[in-house]
Amino acid sequence: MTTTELLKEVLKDKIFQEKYGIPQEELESISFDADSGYPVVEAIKTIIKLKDSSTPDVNVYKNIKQNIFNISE
Amino acid sequence: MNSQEFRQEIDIKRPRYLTKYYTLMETISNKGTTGGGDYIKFGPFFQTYMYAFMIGYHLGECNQIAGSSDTKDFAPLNHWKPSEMVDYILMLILSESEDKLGFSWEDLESMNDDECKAAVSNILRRIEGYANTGLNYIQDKFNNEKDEFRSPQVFINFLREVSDK
Amino acid sequence: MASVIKSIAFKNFYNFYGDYENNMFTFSEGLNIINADNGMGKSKMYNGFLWIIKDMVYDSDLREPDGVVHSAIKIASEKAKNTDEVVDFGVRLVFEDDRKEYTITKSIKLTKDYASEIGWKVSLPRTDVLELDLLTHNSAIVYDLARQEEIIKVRLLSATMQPYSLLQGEAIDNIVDLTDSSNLASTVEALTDLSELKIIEKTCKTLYSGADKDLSTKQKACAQNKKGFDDAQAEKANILKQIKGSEESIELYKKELQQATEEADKYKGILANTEKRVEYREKLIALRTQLGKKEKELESLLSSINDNLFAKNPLPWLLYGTDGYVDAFIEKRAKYTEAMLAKKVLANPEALLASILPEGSPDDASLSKMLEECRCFVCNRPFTKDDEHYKHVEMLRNRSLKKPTNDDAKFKAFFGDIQKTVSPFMTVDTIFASIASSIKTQKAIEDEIKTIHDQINTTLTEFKNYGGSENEDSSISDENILSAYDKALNAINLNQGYLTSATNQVIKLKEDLKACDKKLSEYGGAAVPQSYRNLKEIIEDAQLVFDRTKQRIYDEVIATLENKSNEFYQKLTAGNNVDGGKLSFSKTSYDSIQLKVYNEAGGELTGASEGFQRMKKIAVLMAIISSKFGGGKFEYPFIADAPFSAFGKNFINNFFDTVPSVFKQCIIMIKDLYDVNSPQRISEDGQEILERMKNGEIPGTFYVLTIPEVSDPVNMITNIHSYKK
Repeated sequence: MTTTELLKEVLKDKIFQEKYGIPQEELESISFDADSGYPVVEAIKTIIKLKDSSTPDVNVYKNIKQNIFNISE
Repeated sequence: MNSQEFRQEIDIKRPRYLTKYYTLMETISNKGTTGGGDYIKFGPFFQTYMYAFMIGYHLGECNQIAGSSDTKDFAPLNHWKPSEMVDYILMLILSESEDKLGFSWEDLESMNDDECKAAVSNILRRIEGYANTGLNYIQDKFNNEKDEFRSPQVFINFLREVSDK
Repeated sequence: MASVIKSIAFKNFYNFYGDYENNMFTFSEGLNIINADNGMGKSKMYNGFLWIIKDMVYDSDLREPDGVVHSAIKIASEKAKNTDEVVDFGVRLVFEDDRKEYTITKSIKLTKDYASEIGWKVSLPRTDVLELDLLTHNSAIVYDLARQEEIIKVRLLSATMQPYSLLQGEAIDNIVDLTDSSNLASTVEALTDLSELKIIEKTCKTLYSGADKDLSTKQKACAQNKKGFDDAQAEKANILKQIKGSEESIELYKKELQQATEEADKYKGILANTEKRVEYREKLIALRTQLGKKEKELESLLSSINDNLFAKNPLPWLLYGTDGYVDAFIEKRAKYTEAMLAKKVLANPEALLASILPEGSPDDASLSKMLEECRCFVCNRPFTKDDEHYKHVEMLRNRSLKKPTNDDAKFKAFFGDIQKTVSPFMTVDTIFASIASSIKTQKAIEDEIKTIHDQINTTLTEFKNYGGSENEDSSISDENILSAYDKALNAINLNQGYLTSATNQVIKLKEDLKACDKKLSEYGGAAVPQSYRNLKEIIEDAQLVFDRTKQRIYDEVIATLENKSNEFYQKLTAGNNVDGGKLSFSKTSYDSIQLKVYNEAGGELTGASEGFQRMKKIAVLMAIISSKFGGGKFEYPFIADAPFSAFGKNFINNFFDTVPSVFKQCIIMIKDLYDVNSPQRISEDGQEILERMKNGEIPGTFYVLTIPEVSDPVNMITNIHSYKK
């Protein structure tokens, strides 16, 4: 499936509404084009995007750590 | 010569057939197994001969064996079974006209022994002639319509073919 | 991206002699049938596809695939090799995807070389690819080898799809091995792209590990109680080691459990339907005994036919057609008798006259009395015995008694004996009825034999449908099977127990791990930046979400798979007497998909026939393909050579009805629609399919291959007959 399809499928999980309180309408409008403002969503987007282009796992981690959580090395 | 002697003269005779039909005889008779397999076995040689005679008789052609021909014979007529068939064959020959038979029944009365023996020879030549025709017919079928011999009805079929003509 | 093969053509390729134009097949979307008997070129045609796609051919002598160069001499047309010193042979395939049309030609040249061992010099294979833009109609030759590879191995038929697209014979058995539940699971994965999620799952483990390590490092740096922290760290390491150990054990138990379950299923299948198999086996024995008797009866009848020629009772058949001959003989004999009598009279008329007394003479009785009394009644004078008067009266009396005979006809007895013998044969007209009766009896027995044969075939099919096999090794007794089955069941229980225990252990250890993490967090204190905690928590949640997504898609796929498989299964097995059952998919505790079949009452159905087994596989394959997330139809050509060896007529018809709905294009090489006795060489079923093609019900093409009868195998060439283009 495409990355967009996978993202859509993942966002169906109840955790986003139940734990992170993200409203359904917002979940439906989430895409790769814009920042959602939710670190959990951005982390998931990063994982999907980077693995689609076969990025090594360690680089995926670095990306999330630095870009989403602002933790430098 | 009287009836009994005349009959005895006939009984000791051994009808002949052309050597070229030997393989055919062997193939379709019980005697011998040459070329067997799917070919339906007939019976003893003399039965095959009697059958060939009937075929030739129905065809109406008596092709007598020429004196110089290479021939074979087998058991004398009085050993052939069933003996009723031998009598039937004699009946058929004796029923023929004088010009075919070479003598009339009445002529027999006044014949001497040598002349009677000659009459017996005539009878035999006629038997051989019809059998010869019949063997030729069967050989022809064997050569050109071999598939016919795969049917258990083969000999009945030939008989019906020639007698229904 | 969908691809459709437009045509394939051959040049001097096996029995396809001549140039490409002379040996071309054009195809369309839908069902493309190439119908041919064994040896007519089906598998050779399949080799054409193999060459284009995989640079190989199937060597029927070696019974394995072989490189085209190695097989070059065998591939090149015999007729071409006998005619020319230089032989070009090859395959040309044209296919389209959404925008472009590609012509791929693969060829090899042979040059006569008398000095070489094989007699020919074999060139390297050559590949030519022409690309045509369907919109602009611009064409270009593709020289770049990598591009050529991409066109063939991605656009025409991707390498991952090949195992599902290119099938020969019973290869379908290998696509979807329904007895191996992990194989089924991996087939589902391959066709539904769940493999991506599995990769992400692995990534999340690495991410979690990284986040955990970073947090731990920060916590240690901020910890006041270094010893306490180190102890808790060591405890955590220990717990993690135990978790790893337990998880490894879990994998092992899952594997053992899977094996034990498959074993149990195998034996269950054999044991199931035993009663039915016994019943049908006994039926077969009885029918075969009956058949034997009838065949003996027929044999006896046929072998007695010639005996009837000479049998006296009722009448020998040899006398067929001799009506009236005996009558003619009797008539001739009567004439002979008369003639002999007339001759006798002419020779001695006095004897005749002497035998006649004058009118008024005493009669015989009176003459006898006269002799008794020794007295003449005429002149009333006595006489003495033996005197001249006595002798005269005696003579008169004896002469009247003496009738003229032809005792002197010497051959009367000869002809008479013959007549006596042949007289019973006067009624030869009854022979015809006798022959007819024999033929009628023969026919009746032959009909009975045919009926029994049909019954045997039906019973054999039922027997096989219940898992029976005539090649069964009877040494595998039910007792042995039961014992093996019990052993497998025990192994299942044991491993199930171990698995549960290990799983519970992991759950407990994970609780301990949580407690340990809490302790470490406390040791780290508030000085640890929240971002580290958030990072770890979010990655943990991401891991959970991806795992649940995978499970959810998997569950959806299985549910859809079950529905669609049953849909296809019912269509494929429609019209059969035996109930094929209903397919049920379930996830197992060892992460695989198990397929079981249930009857209407809900009982498990095992031991189905080979045909049903293969239908199950095709139904599942078609369901998997049409369940593809985001898809629905198999976007690549489905090319199969003789996939129907174990199928019955119903199956084949159902297959042709159902398959085009899933595969965009099917190219099937088949012998089951071939009938050597039909002028078009197409069986009744084939004619039906052809009609439906002609009236547009089934889109596609229909070809028949024949080879004219020639005595010289070198000159054997395949003729192509197109009945629907």
